[in-house]
Amino acid sequence: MKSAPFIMHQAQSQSNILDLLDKYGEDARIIAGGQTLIPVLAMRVASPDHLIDINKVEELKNFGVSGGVLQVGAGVRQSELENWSGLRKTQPLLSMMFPWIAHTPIRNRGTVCGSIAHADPSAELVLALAVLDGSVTLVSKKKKRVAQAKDFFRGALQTSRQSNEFIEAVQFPIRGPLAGFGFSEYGYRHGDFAVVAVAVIKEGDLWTIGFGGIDDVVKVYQCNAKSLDEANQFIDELAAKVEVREDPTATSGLRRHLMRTLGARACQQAAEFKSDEIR
Amino acid sequence: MGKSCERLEDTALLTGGGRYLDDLPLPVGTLYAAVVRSPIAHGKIISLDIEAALKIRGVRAILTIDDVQTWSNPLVVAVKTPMRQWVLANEYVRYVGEPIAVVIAESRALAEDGVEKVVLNIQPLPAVVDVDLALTDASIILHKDIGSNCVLDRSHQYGDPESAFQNAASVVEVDIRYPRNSCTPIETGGVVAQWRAADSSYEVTSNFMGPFSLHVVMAAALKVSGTKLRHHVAPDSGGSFGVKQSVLPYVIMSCLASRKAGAPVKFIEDRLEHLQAATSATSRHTHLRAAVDRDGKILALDYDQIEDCGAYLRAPEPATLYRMHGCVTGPYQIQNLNIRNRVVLINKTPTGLVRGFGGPQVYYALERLIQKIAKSLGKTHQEIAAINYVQKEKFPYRAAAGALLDSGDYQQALKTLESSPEFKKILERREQAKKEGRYYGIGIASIVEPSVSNMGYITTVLTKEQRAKAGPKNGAITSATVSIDPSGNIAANIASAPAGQGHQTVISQLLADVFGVLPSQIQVNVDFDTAKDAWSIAAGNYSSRFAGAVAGTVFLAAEKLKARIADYAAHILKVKPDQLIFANGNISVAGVEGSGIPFSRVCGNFHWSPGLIQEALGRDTTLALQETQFWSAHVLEAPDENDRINTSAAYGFALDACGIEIDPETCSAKIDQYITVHDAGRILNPALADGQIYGAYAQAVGAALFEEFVYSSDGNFLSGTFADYRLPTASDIGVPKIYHQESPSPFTPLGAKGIGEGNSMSTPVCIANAIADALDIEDIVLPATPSRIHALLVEKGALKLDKPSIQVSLMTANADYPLKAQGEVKLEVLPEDIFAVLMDPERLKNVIPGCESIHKKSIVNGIRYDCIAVVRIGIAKARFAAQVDLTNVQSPDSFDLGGEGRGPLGMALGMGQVSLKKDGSTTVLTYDYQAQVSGKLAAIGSRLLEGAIRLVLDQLFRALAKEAGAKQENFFKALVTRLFGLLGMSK
Repeated sequence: MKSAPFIMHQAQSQSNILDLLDKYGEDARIIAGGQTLIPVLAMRVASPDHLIDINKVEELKNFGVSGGVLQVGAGVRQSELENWSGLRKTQPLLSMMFPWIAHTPIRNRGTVCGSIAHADPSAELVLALAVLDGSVTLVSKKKKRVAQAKDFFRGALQTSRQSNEFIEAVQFPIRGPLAGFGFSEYGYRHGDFAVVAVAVIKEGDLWTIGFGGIDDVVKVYQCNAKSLDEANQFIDELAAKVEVREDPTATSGLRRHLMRTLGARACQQAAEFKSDEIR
Repeated sequence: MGKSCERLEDTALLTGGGRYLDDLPLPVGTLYAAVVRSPIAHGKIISLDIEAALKIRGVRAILTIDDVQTWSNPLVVAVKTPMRQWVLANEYVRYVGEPIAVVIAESRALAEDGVEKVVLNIQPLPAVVDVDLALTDASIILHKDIGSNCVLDRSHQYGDPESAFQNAASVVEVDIRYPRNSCTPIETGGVVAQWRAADSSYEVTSNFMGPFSLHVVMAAALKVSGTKLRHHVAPDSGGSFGVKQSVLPYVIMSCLASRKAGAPVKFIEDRLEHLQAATSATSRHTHLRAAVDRDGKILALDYDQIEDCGAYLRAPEPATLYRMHGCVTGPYQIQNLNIRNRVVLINKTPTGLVRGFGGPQVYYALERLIQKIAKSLGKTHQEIAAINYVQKEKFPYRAAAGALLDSGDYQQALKTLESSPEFKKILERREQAKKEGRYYGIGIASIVEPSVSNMGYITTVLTKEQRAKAGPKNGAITSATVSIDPSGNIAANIASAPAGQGHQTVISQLLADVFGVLPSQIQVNVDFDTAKDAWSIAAGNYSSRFAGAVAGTVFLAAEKLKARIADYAAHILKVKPDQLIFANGNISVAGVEGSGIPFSRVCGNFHWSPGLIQEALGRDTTLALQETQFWSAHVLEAPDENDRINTSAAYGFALDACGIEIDPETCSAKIDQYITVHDAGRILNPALADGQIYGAYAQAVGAALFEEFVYSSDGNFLSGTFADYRLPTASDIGVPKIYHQESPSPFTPLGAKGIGEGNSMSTPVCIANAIADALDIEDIVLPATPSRIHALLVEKGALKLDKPSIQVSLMTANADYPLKAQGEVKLEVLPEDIFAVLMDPERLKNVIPGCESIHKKSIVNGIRYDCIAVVRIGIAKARFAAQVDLTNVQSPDSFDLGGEGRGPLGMALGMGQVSLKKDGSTTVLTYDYQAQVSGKLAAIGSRLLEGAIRLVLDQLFRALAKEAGAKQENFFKALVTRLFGLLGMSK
């Protein structure tokens, strides 16, 4: 439980980060909150030669709304966003999810972009980005690109980030005032990885339903349903049909069952959603 | 005594002043150890290359099996067996995490660098992880010298069970499996060891908790006399729960490491090592039958117990079976009894002491059986219990297998339970739930809780002839020293190796009472030293022996000292000693106000003016204000000719009830109310007694609903972090309602009995009984996780049955390759082009990630490539020495792809079929794969392993296509972007 030796680089600016990534590429890792990276280093499951600490780069610590999206910079802690007074109004779904993300001390350190970069298919923020059809801004020394969530998440812990690219920010699109949101999750203990998590966005008869924890990546489906019953019917059939993971944590049977029960809860919440009533 | 008070230990523990092993100062020049461990469950060690590791600057030495065999003996065990167990693996590895070598370096980090550089070549062998399979003829055998996986098969018979079964109105039976779990202390195992060449001795400080009968085992293993192995116990221990007994092999290993390095060596086990390879409770398969009369009276029991002790029988095993032997009939009067005990070795971590030690396993069968009998007769669990309980007037009661149940009033406990408002509440809730169609059940369990183990019980495993040859073993000799200084300050030294229970608090309360002084005047030393303190083999922190044995022995020593002081005080005050009262720091005459003399002055005379004492009481008077007492309960006799054994000195009682509701939406069991009624004899400190109940209860809730050491069918260990080995948190546990009654033990000095393990024994089965009641289903497997409850609800027809998976592998299932991956990749090349790459090592080199070199050779049915590959899965990066086998090549349609990789993170083995179908100018490649992933990757990443395999294959096939000439996706777009970028026109 002692990491292999590495060189620590204290980045002073974003261009500094990009230079380092360009130089070291696959041998370097960005460290922000370190809530996943530090244990992984201690267990020597990762042993990068270089760590690039971005905690002193002030320009990355911004988040805000512009152009219909909530943009969150690489240095923003999860708890900063969680405690932002405007969150409920602009991103009700994130507001519903935050209490489910690990524990308060972890959210105090962990960053939003770090969670996205790690791409755990059971992570709430990954689910949020996917179901909101959000995007990730990646920059390298040579170029900047924006990847849509569906293209960014490639598999279990796998993204389309190239080794010289830095996740500068992520964008969560803001839905219209009439959209309804629902979120439901089951984990064995408070703060655990979701066995299954469901996020629902209802816009008129269009329901967008995302499932975390059921496969290597978050799965997002859409249906037209005139009633809650129809939406539940859709999920019921989906749960029987789609490929669902089975691992030592949970059987695929339990996961399919949770898709239905949690899906129904989240759909009902979305149907009854009033923006000022989020807990 | 008998009152709650502030714990003396807490100021230090809560303000960073604890003195745990890792806090203690180290000898100059101490080096640090890290262990090379087996990544796989079973294999033959072909070679071990330590050269590269030794070249690392700061790595000072590496301990290997050759050193171990030179300087030590195999560990002795209680059973006669040709099995040999050294502290490092010899020729074969038999469980994941088995130590193979020890790297000794100037820091732990450097030692871990060394571990990564040790090159292991282990030939994998099939593993067996199930006791029933291990007993079949088809099973692989772990220890060829034994010739079987069964190291013990003993049958014991008491009374006349055969007639009882013949005459029974009915026979009721249960078949249960108790899972592998543990009580995980916050502080893991730790040792500082030093070899002293000058006098050929070892000096060790560790957080080993005893029993110190194992000190004899350590010394024998180290080939030194016991006096040449000086062992210190650190003053504080961060939890033990039996588990710190597993420090034993680390003590031996660290001593040998010190000898190898020629310097003191410190070893602290990390969490992964602890969960993976320290120890575990035994898992047990029990078939239990009862002969029952019409009313539910049990006439006879027949136990068939198959015990999983892991890959090696490690002392004191098979004690988990025999600790409970005398009292396997629980609180019931059952005089006809059959027991068959089989101990089986399988490819899992060796087992040992874990809180409850044998109790959870026995009572899980017995109390599930009581519930089943009740159900079959249409009665309640309590009714069946009541007609079978030992009656109050029958104590001390000799149970069939020899336990002498000392005292109790089980009926009274039942009355307390049934009349409690909490019990009435759960009955009402069940009624209400039934009306509303909800799943609410009530579970009951009653158990006797043995404490102060008879050190002779383990010899019950021997036949009477073997015992006669070895000589009788019995008793549990406890020691304590009490001394008083010239100012009347009192100190006690105890060898109880506490781990947070509050031993110091209770001993100071006790001594303050005896001598009539303030608890603050008393110093209790627990940092026990085998070279200087009074101790014997029963010393240590186990079998709930503190209240019954340790506190009692301190009391006996104190009473002797008090009598000595009283003799002299009586002389001064010119009264008889029995007229004296020790109170408020004075010794005074009963009923005479103002007659007192200060306690400190009387004690001072013993030190400053021994002449006065001798003058007053005679020349032969003992002058010492120090008394060392040794005590062993007289009822702890050796096993008799018929294998009857009084396994413990005292037997407490616990009766539990709980109401549980199953949430059908999440398939989880929620404890609505838990009630526990205890009789532990005389309670020495109620708050500490309740603390023991809360702690045992919390760990038992874990065992019942959350915690399990999970192994895959290939023997890989999958619970290497607290994300996978799920301890319940405070909000998952709740607070049980506790009731006490006190039936003092006639056999312990203070009438006290142990209370530390009752709920470890009663709670798992109580919860299982409640779930069985809620779902009206018989087979409950612990831990009752949502996945298991979901399966039960499906079985009942309450939930719908889904297909397990859409994609079905065409390969036959293989227990050695439990992971599955199937997929389809669309590649923009023709099948022929892909085959061209596969056959060409130079081109393949470009395909395999991180490949530095590649060698091709022919094998049966195909070709093999040896290479180095670097695999990246998200944050993880693993370097493997890989073998890739291409067989049954049917160009351009299909081939078989097998392989194995070895690296510091573990081993990966895979085999599968790949088929290619041409689709226009593209190829649809499908794969059907089976794999085994072992070591660290499996232990910490089981949740994502199959996904990772799919990912690695997917990456491999895409790289293959790329090399075969597939068009770069978006190649032109990228080129255009780059051009524009160069011109400053990006976006």
